[in-house]
Amino acid sequence: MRKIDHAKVDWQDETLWLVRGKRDRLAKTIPEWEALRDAASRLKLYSNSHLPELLEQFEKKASAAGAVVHWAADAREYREIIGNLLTERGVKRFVKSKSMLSEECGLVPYLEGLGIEAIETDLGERIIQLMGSRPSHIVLPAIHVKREEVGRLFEKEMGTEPGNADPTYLTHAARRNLREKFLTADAGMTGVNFAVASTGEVVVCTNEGNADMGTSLPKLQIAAFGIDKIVPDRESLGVFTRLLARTATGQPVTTYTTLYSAPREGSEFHIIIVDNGRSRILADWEHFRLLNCLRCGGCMNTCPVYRRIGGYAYSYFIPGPVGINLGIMADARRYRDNLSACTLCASCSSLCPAKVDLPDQIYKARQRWHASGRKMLLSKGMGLVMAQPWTLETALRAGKPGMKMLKAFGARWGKGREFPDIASQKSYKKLRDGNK
Amino acid sequence: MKVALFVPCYVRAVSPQVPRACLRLLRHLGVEAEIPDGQTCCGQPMANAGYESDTDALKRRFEKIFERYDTIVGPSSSCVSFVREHYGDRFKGRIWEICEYLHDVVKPASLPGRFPHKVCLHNSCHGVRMTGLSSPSEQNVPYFNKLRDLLSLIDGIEVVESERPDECCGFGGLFSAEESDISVKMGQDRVRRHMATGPEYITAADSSCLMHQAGIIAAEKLPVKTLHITEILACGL
Amino acid sequence: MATSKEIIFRSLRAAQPEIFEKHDLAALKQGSLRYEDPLAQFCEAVKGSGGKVRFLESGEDEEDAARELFPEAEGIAVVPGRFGVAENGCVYLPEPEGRPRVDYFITDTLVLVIPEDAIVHNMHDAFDRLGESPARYGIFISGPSKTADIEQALVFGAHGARSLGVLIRRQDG
Repeated sequence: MRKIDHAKVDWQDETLWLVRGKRDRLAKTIPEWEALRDAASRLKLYSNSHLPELLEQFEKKASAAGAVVHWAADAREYREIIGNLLTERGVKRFVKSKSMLSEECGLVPYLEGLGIEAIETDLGERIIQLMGSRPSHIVLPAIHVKREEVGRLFEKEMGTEPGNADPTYLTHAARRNLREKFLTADAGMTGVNFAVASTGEVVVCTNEGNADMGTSLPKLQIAAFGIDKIVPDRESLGVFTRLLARTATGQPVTTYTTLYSAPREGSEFHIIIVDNGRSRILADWEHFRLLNCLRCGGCMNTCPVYRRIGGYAYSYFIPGPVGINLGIMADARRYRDNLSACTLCASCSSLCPAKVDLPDQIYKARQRWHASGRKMLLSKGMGLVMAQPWTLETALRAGKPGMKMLKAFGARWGKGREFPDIASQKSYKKLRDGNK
Repeated sequence: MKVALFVPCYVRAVSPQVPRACLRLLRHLGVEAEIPDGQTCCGQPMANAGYESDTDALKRRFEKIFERYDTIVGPSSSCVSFVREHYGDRFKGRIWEICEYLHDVVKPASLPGRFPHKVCLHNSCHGVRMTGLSSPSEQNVPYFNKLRDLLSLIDGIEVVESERPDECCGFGGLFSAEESDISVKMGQDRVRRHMATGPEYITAADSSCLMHQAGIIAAEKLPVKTLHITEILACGL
Repeated sequence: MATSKEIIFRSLRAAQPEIFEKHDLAALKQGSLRYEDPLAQFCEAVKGSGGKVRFLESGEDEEDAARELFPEAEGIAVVPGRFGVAENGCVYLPEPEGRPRVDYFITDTLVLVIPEDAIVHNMHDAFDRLGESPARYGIFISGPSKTADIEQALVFGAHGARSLGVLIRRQDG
């Protein structure tokens, strides 16, 4: 059973609800919003069911533009490709922008092991990196951290004024601190929001400008993406860019939407295309639509459970509704405990910009992966009670005084909630039999 | 042919006045209805917990009881949508949540009775997002609320909705036991938002949500009562 | 030995997912949000993203206008943009000519110049305008660099330009 952190729960819930509120207001300014969601879902279903053609097309176009395309079947290959690119060029300092793929594949610890300084440059990611922690949200990685904690951290790491927890002051301190890293880095890397098959471009959507700084200065640029990031063409980007930021953070668009295909004058551009289990999702008809996910984090912001427990209450590195399912696909035995963190309220699928059937998948995964013995007992017990009318009636007959007794002894249905009273069945029977 | 009233297990266990209200409502509106004998449970709690395979016998029981009826109505959007989604095509088009049935099929122009009270509407997850009783807050669709439409037929009633009008209350079947800390917290938050509208009653189309919230209300001794929506709709009958 | 690409493609072919046909976006695009006055909407959107707007009358100097818009600025880069997007205040910039890409980001104040007739309604129109022919590089910029990573408090000037202005050049006649 997961515990509530009562000191933080309301603050965290309100903060995330604020993001959902912003998203709602923007969604309501677009009359064709639901048609956009529908189009995004169909475009992703199309591209994910045509991956070989589209990936081939992407590679051809990207290579023609001057990028070098690499393929990584798994996390190890992904790490090694990047490690080799960096060590071969004698890279000492490496700046990266936010990439869930790099978290998935354990890139930063690997590079540190090679003696390379790998610096997260997204402010939230940087806070998390300096804290020695992991992101608790895929778009808002430090959403669980209070400003005072950031103030104390930056005081230690960047020498900011003691006691100053003003977000503007702290953000600008990080700007100065990281500016120096950008100017001296030997290589920069980004994740990818969309990889466009028709043009061989990778599209990166960010607000801070860290990805753009990191790709505009060093001589080596790397971009890596999972095969599910492929979209057919620029025309489809019209749909995705209208949905992404509105859903993710409640902005009409991110500050920067950058389309990269050719290397900068005098530098190299390497693109790594990664499977790492995605083809397994493709083969699983129950979870296939997970590949629709745009990684906007909208399902987290709307999930009533996630908002109350935060990202660290999940064992998989991606939390919330989509993380529950991605964890099952990554290693069901290891991450099945997350399946209980869902009421099947379906708010996530009602909001998802690419219509991933998240609660249906959780429901199906629960059938395949049973997590707790206690739940099995509850379920089997309930099955026995419900098996026959007489068993139900016997249970209800016993339950009426039984429940009273339990309550008299102070038993509760969880802390802060009373059990219901079981009603007498006389009137029900009279009703049932009297109306034939 | 009579309409069958599907009485979910927990409705019967904790709120047997609800099927009574349903029968009175249907009868008043000229729909002959009866409660078929032998009902227990549709299997949803076990299935949602991951044990759908254990519910085969319950499904067969349900099918045997209800197969001879052309129309089945039940006072629970959650159980009704479970039967719709997980019983194959057997009951598709034949089973209705009762408010949905009244609103879409019977279409009453008026209902007798006066209920001069302020009532806060709990839009339940499965009512909103699976049964379509009201517009989901996540989507850009015109506002509608079939429950509100029905309640507006009652004289003197004031219907309000809370901030976050369709956020989950945290019941979730066995979730309420397995993740009881989160469940209680969600319930407390939901009840607090209902209370902020100053209601005398909280009503819903799902007794399960109400049962859970009533547990919170009892623990906190709050000055509000829960009523299933059919109890209000049948107040003059 | 099979290459990684072959291994991946083998898994993809073995997966045999349900095949979905390509969705035609014509109806969606046709029915998408249009504005009576896209230029006015564009100006609103730029302001909404934290930027400033100023019109340039014919013959007016860009650098002077930019300085007037940001009298306090430490460094201003004035760069030409291709077109603006009314729905979100984006300006599209191609690979810069005769200067490095980093000029778009490293400056304290970025000022983008577009002609007044170069406003499209929304991102569908924007990508239609770009077409499907590959470019080396391109970027949509909307407002100054920003972050809300500390308690969701909005702060301008995370890593890129702290201030952003758009100069809209009036067309003659």
